[in-house]
Amino acid sequence: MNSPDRTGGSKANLISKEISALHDECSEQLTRLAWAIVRDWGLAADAVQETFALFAQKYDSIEAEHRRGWLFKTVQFQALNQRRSQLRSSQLVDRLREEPTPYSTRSPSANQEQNEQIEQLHRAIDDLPLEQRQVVQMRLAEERGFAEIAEQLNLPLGTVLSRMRLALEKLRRNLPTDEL
Amino acid sequence: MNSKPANNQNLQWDVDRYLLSDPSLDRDAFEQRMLEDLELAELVAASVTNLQVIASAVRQPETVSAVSFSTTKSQQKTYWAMLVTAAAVLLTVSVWQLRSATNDDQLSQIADNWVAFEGLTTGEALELIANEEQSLENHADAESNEQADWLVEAAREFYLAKNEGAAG
Repeated sequence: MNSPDRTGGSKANLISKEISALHDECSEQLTRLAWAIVRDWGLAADAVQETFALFAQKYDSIEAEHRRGWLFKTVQFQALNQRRSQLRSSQLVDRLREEPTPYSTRSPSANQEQNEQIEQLHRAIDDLPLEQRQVVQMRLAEERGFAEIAEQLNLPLGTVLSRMRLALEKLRRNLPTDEL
Repeated sequence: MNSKPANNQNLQWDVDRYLLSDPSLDRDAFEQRMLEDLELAELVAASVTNLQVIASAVRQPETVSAVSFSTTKSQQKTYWAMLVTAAAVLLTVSVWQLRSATNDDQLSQIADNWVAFEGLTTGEALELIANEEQSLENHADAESNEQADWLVEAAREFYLAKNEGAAG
């Protein structure tokens, strides 16, 4: 027979284990999703942390099949709030580089895999038609906005966007499907 | 039949437009869709990673080659500008010295100056001389060019003969 304290303790342990398992399963995805909104890895990590703190408090009231969806929705609300408060204090920098990426926490074999992907992508980039490569280069390497690229190349915005789209479709074929 | 892949591609492109800040995308509406659609939110999370991988690949080779290209070009330009300036000054002086040279010592001294221009053809040297002479608004006619040609050749031959003698 378990005493009430002992039962409560084992239930708390079980909840803690379940939350921990969900954290392991989803935190990386959630951080990327939050980053897409705030464009800052520090703020994204904060959004995830606050989401899990709230999740632990409300755990009992969230049905098991909705927990994952709840995490994804809540992290977005947290990130949107972060962005609102950040915009009040300073302008967010819109970029896809220089921030530490989730890759930095990956294992050496995962980093090796990433290097191989990059090598493969180099070849795919070389195979792109010049006009597509130019747009990709200007947007991803030089980090110019699409409007600026269109102005500089003297092209309609739609043309620049369709070149980018075609290029990305080709380049994505060189990435493993689980990352698509 | 092919509508599902096409829809997937359209969805992927919407995600890319969001992540790449397409100014024509309604971001608020997209974020509302993300909140309502778990699959879309998951796709955004996955796309952050693969766009970063693509961005890394785009940056790496191009950045290196662009930097090295611009450095090489810049160095070449600077070097060439310095060389041409030095050549023009030295050739002008040399031509006038050659015109008034009266003995082998003077010729030898002048010929030593040619060490810096061994890579130049007579034509290139003459062009520099002609340009320099034109800038001086003096001796810009064909006769002076012929004379300069002869003097250049004389100095070059003298220089080469001297070097062969030293080597032997």
